[in-house]
Amino acid sequence: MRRNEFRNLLEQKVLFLDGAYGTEFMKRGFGEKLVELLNLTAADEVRKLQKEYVEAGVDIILTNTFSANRAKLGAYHLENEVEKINAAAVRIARSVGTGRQLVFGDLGPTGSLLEPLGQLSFHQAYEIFKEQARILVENGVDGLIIETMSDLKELKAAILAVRQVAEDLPLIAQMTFGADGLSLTGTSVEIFASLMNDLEVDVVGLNCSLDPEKMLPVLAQLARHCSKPLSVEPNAGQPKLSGNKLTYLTSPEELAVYAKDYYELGANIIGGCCGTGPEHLRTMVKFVGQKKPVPRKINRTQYLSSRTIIKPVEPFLVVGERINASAKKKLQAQIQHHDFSEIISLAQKQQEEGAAVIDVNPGIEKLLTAEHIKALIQTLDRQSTLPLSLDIQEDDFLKVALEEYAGRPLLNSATVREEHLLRRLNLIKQHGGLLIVLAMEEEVPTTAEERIRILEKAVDTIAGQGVELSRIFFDPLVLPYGAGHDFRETLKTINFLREKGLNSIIGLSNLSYGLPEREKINAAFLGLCLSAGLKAAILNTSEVTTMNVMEGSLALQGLELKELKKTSGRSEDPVVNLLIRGQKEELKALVEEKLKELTPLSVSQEILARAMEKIGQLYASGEIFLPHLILSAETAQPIFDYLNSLIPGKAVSRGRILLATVEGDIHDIGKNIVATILRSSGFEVIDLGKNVPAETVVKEVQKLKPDLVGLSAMMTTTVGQVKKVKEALEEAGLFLPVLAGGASMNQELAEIFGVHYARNAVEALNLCQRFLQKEA
Amino acid sequence: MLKEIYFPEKVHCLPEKRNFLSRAGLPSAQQPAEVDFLKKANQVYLLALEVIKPAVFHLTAPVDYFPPELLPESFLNLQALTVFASTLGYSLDDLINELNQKKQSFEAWLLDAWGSESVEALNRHFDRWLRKKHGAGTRRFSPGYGRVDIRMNRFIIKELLNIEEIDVLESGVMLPRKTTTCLIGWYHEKK
Repeated sequence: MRRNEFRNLLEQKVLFLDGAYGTEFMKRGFGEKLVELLNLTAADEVRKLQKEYVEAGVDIILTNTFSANRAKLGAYHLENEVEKINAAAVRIARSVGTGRQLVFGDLGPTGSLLEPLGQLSFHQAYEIFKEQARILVENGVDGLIIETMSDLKELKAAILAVRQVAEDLPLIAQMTFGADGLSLTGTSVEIFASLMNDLEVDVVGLNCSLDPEKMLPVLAQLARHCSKPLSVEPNAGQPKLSGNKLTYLTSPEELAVYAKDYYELGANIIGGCCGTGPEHLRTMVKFVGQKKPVPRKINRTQYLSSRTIIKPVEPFLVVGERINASAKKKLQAQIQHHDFSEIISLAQKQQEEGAAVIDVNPGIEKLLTAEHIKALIQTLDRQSTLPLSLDIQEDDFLKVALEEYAGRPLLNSATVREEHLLRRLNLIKQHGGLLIVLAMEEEVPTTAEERIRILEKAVDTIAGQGVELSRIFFDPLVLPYGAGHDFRETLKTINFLREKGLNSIIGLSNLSYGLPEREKINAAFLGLCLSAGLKAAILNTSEVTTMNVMEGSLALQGLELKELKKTSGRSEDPVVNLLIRGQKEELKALVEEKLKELTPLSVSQEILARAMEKIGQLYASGEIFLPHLILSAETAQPIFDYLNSLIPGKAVSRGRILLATVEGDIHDIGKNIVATILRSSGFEVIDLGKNVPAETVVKEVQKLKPDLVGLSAMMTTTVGQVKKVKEALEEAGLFLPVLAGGASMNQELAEIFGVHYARNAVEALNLCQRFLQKEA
Repeated sequence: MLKEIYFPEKVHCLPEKRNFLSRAGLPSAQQPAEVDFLKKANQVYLLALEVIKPAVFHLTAPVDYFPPELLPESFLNLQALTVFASTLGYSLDDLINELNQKKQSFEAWLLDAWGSESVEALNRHFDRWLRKKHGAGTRRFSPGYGRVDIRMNRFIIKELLNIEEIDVLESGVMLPRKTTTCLIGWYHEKK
């Protein structure tokens, strides 16, 4: 099926997608195996389940390939079966339809976090998805779905990979969010929506993590911000243990009642995730019925975002100009030596001064390699900075920056030279984002008339490429007043752009180049530009007069700059702030200062460990996000090590923790985060890795004598292993506390298993602190 | 002639959300409602679905089996007729009363609206079920409309269908409250 055919179909009626596979196979007694392997070993069982979904009335069935990518199969030593498992899945799904159903190839996450949060590179992820998508496409799927993604960057890698092998096949892109509307990596629904609006996906959706009720407000958020058709697949509640079986408590009727709300909110595709089965789908299809989708009211405001921070471009966009290595030799040298401390500091200062976006100009690009650009973008991503304006000229470097960038950036910039403009437009079509278009071709035009003629040409080209003009900021050019250029030509061009309803942006400081008392000139000119209708400026946010004039001018127009989202958490504690910002050197200096008055033990336990506790609280209250938490932990760790080295005798440890992902489970993202947080809080962590049998845990506990065991189980098919480990420990006479977490764990299960439930890394830390209140 | 009892699945008693909320006083133009309101309404919806005990009592017979005063004029030349009584049972009434006593009038109000729409959803389902069996027929008709007095409900419930589970007041009003009686005439049914 072609993309336009699918989009037409979506306009005609609400489609139903099938229900769960993993949990359904588990109910049917196939829980111990990797369910994708059933495509080869028990094809009839897969066929039977899919036939039941068809009989329930679904329009789309998915291939049983959620975990059939090379990364996940590799964890089971099945990497050589990627082709066979995926091909068989398509054959099976194709054989059950009545001719009315579409078969979509299912792609799930790799199971690893991408750099800089994890170890997997963008390119590795891209190749993994490309391979799986290619097999699914070659075997004849009608479309593809990418689902249960918690990392926006991984999702982007998957989308680009799919589009590489299937330019004209329908594609559904889904992420998974908590009830607070944030993904595991701190991305909000609005950030997800604003990037997906740009990318080459046909449907944008949500799945997993939430029951039908909790999914409702998150879908409402998505419906407000996403301009593409919507899909939604809630879980059937949290799993409960009855006897030896895990059951999901959401009844088919409950799912159906909420599905009707999803329809009312404008959903175009409705299905079920974990815990839903054919009966849920049958009831839902019957209750919702054959309907035309409900039109939605969509917020058309344009946003720029980083991974965790989103900023509206209205009513006025302030872009901080000070990360500009082309004008700062020292900064240029630092970048060449992979020293980004000054850049981080400048980004943070500009954020505090009121910038909404940070312009990043890496300087003379001939002196740099792609690795510099990659490291620069990843560093800023780790710091959870504001959205970036990528002031990069080389196409190859810009492509690297865009691949590494998790969010919706501003591209600075394109000229109206046709092939240059087309290349830049293609980049924002492929990677998302907004673009600055300069009112120039080869030469810099001096008069407003020339600039307007060039801009009119640009508008035609942009419209011809199908890019919304609201995604473009036109730069009317500001030339140095000191060199005799007339600033009124710029004002006339801004006026023209305002009359045409187009966005304008200027590089303010160019005007005063070479002049004394630049701030006065800049401020005065900005005031004039604002009254002519200027919409954005790249400026020096440390110029107090300029910033005040801007606020004053906006106020006179009845406008004010507003925050959409609270930015990274602030604390009164300077140690907390240094940790959140990853300022290792500054933290080290502060610690050295403290060591003049306090013992290393006191600094370690009363200052650093306490700051980490406060960071945990900020995370728990949603004021900072996972990247901050990881960054803080990584920043604290070497300082702890340093302080330990100063304490004579045995190193300070608050306790020894043994961690493992249970047997049959290869998901270790959560466990690795817990390990990082615990280490940074002064605990000694022994990590046994993933897919660890109960017997190994027992053996290691006997050998290493930890104070506490932490287990991770992500899948409903493996959560029972937690109980097995606990029982094995007790049989061996080992009665130490056991913590368990992961997507499939919950409080009730933990109580039944006789273990302690940790919902996230911070809760795990709190529990460890509670159990192991001892000091070296 | 013997009455039959049909026990529907609960899925057949699911009222349209939009209709249910409209009946509860939320104009269609205001829908979908705010998410928090929807959640409350859904809780009531699912609670109601849990407590109802739906049943349909029905009897199909040649037209001359029925007294003329039960039949609207348009039914007189038909071959056969089905009379049925649909109810959601007393448990829903009890729950509404209980909530009212606890001053949870919002939930009680929503439940009442839900019940009215649910019994209508049930009637629509049973109507389709009958038509599959009997072929072409008249529109569904209920006493209280046209020339048929609502007090005929007593005759339908107690004499024709002989239902112990449903009470009928002198006024023709039935208990449980979410109970209706309906008639459908069949064009081709043989005597």
